[in-house]
Amino acid sequence: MTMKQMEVHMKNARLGRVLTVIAIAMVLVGPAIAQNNPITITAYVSGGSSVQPADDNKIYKLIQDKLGVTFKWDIVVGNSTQKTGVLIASQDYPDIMSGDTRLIDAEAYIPLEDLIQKYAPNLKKHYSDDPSVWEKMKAKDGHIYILPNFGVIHNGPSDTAYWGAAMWIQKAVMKEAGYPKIKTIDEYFKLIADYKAKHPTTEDGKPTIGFSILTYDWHAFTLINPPQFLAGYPNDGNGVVDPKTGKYSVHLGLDIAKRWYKLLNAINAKGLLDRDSFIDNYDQYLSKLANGQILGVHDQLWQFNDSQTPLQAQKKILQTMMPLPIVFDSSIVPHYRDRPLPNINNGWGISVKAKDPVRIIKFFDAQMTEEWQKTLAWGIKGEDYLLDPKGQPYRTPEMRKAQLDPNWAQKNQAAIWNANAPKLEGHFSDGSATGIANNSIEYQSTLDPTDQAILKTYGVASWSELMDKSPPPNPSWYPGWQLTPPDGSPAQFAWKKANDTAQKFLPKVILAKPKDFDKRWKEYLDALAKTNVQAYQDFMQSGIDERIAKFGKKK
Amino acid sequence: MTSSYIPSAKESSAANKDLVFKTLLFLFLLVLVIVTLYPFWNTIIISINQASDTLKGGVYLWPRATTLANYQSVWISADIPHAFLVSVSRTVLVTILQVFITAMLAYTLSRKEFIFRKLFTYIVIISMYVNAGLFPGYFLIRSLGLINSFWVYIVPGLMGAFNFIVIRTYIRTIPESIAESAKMDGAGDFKIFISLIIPLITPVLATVALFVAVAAWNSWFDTVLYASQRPKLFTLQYQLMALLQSSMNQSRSMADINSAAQGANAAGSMVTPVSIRAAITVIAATPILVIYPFLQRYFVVGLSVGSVTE
Amino acid sequence: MSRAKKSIWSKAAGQKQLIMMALPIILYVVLFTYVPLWGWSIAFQNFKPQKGLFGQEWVGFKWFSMLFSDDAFFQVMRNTLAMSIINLVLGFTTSIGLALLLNEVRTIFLKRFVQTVSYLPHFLSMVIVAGLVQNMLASDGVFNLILLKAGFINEPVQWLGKPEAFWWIAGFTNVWKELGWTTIIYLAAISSIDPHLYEAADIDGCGRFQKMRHITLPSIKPTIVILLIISIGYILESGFEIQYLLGNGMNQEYSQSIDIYVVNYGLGLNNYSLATAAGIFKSVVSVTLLFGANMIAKKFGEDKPL
Repeated sequence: MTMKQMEVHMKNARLGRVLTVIAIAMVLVGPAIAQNNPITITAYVSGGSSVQPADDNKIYKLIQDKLGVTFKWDIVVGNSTQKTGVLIASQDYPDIMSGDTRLIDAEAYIPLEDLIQKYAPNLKKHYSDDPSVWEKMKAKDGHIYILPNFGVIHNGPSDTAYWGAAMWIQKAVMKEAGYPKIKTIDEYFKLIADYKAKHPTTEDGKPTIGFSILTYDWHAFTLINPPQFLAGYPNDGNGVVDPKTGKYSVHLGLDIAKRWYKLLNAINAKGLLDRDSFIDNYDQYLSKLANGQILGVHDQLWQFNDSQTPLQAQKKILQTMMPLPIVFDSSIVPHYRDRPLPNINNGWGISVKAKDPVRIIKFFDAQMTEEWQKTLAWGIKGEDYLLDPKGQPYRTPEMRKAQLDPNWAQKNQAAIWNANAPKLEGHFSDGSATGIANNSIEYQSTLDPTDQAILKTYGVASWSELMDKSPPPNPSWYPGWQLTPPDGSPAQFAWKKANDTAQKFLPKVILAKPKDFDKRWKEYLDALAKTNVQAYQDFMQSGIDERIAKFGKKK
Repeated sequence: MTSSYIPSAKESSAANKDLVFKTLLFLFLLVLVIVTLYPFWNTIIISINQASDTLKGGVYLWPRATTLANYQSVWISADIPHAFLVSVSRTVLVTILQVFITAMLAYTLSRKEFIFRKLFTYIVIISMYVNAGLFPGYFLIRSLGLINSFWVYIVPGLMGAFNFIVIRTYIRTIPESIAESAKMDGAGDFKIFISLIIPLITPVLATVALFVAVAAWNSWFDTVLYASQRPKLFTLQYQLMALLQSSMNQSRSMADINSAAQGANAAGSMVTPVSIRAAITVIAATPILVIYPFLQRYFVVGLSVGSVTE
Repeated sequence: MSRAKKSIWSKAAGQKQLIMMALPIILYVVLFTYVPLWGWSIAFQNFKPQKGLFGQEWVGFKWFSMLFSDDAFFQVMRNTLAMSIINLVLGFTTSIGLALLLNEVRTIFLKRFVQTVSYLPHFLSMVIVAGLVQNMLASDGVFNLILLKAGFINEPVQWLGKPEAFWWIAGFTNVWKELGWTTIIYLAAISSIDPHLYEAADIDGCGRFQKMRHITLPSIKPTIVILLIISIGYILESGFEIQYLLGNGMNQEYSQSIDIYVVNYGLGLNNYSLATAAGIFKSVVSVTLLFGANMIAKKFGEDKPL
């Protein structure tokens, strides 16, 4: 080769090298660039926090910097029925919307299964670890429209606090009786009766109430739910499913219901029942609990937790309530605590009017990494939590205080996004519990010593364990309460009528003189017969049958 | 020597009866004041009482555990100053416009000679009893381009049928001769309305202004339906409602394990719907209460009527 | 050209200003109230928002017949009417009465103070008011306490559990909340009364109550009459909030109003068609009653109230 030729050759080679470098760079960085193209996602949110996040919210800023996503929130204030109806009628959908069966019926969401398969490996893994989850996410037409925000566990459940349904009893009652291990409803009522006889008033002079029932407005399902639990059935909502035959029966007029109301009737005759249960509103119920007046309720903790906080603040721990898995008699196996279920129909869905569904699903996927999940759930290391030598997260008292301040949350948590977003739950790969408060170090330090002592006496590490050390796997059709009749269907109307009838007659049944109980019960059954509750039952049965067909009978 | 005035028997018994009446009246009004003032007073007390303490009941005349936490949570969360501005603008604007327009219509339909009087009156009055519902309303607003616009707060509220009736009833008490003589002097109806009628009907204009202002100030559902995508258009009442709803949802978030309210820290800064609602009520009502006295003097007249002694 | 036609046009020409002042506003009312009434067609459909305006399924009078065949509906009608009538009677007597009494107060300060305080309840949301009523009527509440002390009852009564008491509880709560507010209208009317009338009555030796009967009341009669007619038109409108907040399983039979029924079975079930049908029913009844009341008023010598 001549000098000249060598020069040209070298120039070409250099050019070639430069071009190659550029090409490689583009291949590597390109997708990252494309992925981080700034995009504004418009969202429609109903339910949950109603206040717009602060403009300088630190987590949203992080999302914007690292992933290129900013949000515009349309949050529903007030009842969402009318607003969502108007939204559907106008078809002016934003990019993403929180899960709502009405929107599914209105065909407002796009199917997601293909998008997930193609562009969202993290999501796919999250929802396919347990194959039944993927199946359960599908709507009636076989498509997946909503990404469940809760209930998909990895590496075992980690819940500690018990928020679900139970027969709750005041800790002072248990203490006075020497922390017995009781199982049946008769034992339960006896403890309450004994305690009330010895303590007719509280320290502040307010009358002690044996057992109370919350019946205000939509909270009133606590009036009709107890029978199924007491009979050992899991929470299938408005009815029970026979595990052998798969037959669904609305529990309103069943014998197990009669048994429960007869018991209530009996304790009412003894003066142990709060007669005002049927008149009080929600605030009055909470007030009595917060004053330590009530000895026992059947309820779910999230409904009355507000009443427990003032007691905890005053260190009146013994007047707070603890859960017990009570059943009718000792032959029944309680089934209160269930394994976490995918919270179907709740979470984000992408609307048919979304401008860039691929970009959106990629963002969903990007936030599914353990790193982002920790940021979303725990906050920023050093600011919102610390790690102990073993790698477990914990918080300082100041951090904990901040967490409970809604004003702080507005600036420092991506609450609205996260409430509906797909989440890793259970345990992370490093063994820490995904909910920071469920890590034993954090859990133990936030437990009052009195509570710690009680748990120790019963030989369990948490309230959830007290209810059930190891809940059985959920039946295939479970849970019945996820099946809701479509709008305008006879089933929907029938249930409303039946429920109204129950709310109207049950107080009479319970408050009647014991000798009149059977008469009142018959009146109630007659009134129920007039409502077309069979329509609802048929609807539920077909739903249960479908699920059994899909997932096989039983577990 | 001056003779002292000795009232006759009839006059003294009349004076006694009058005294009895005045005493009874005073007592009655006292009871009325207590009965109507107490709940508002109680609301103020609850708004400065710690939420977790109020929960236990028994807070009546005086706070047990004072705190500003309820107000603090409202102030910071909801961009109150801007919302306040939006509320004030919409209230002032729609009040002025509706009062003027409604009064003008009331005047024209009070003229007995107006050929369309009956027809127009029926159209207005029947409109109070027919309601097309949510969807047609939404479509109308949308087709007028008012969605997410400030004018959605003004345009639908330019005429009030009930207020129309109130004003027109009042106008009818003005003698016809006044308008007739003005007409004979060559004045047109519009001029009569502006220069003659308006000054004569200030009490009812003040009344209606108050009604319109209060309604506009308190409304929030129109924001929900028509302006929820533009935070800059949120009114004060809307923000307050949003806050109230947040506090109600807080206690219900079943899966919010991170905020499991444990420990003493919780109670102090805890807010409940009851306490938020109290703070909201006080905040929302205060501006109205402040401007109220200025409007009141137009319709609470200072005449001494029906009394014998001074 | 016939004479009749000529005179209408010439009349209209002479009333140009009045027409220009009124017509745009009337067109506005028509646009905002009457044009949207095409939405009443929803009541005859099985309305599903996603199907769009023209894709709906027609079901004729199905929803109307469902309303009228439901036993609950008549009970609900009865409740609504009863509560409206009680509200009407209580409301009118108390607000007129209070206006007359306030008129007797000489001290301006006291007059304005009482009037201001009396309308404060209007600003409390019904939720707060209902909470107060619940506390007051509770088994350990003020009301029972007073009755016990006075010896009228031997043990606390569950007032909100007594269905028959509900109408009165709702009525008094409503009066208490709106009294000061509605009085304002009458006060404004009273302020237009010529003071010379009172002076003349003084000279004639009229007492306080005579002045009320012969001067004050007749002067505000037109206001009273028209408000009465309007209220009668609203008789099916007795409301929603009080019934919703103070209603419970025990007083259900007496507390459920039409609006509650519509919310429960209409909107609550996303059944907009049913809700619209109920709305049409209410409107028809309202307008009928309105004109009925108007005619009766005319027969009683009122000069063209409407």
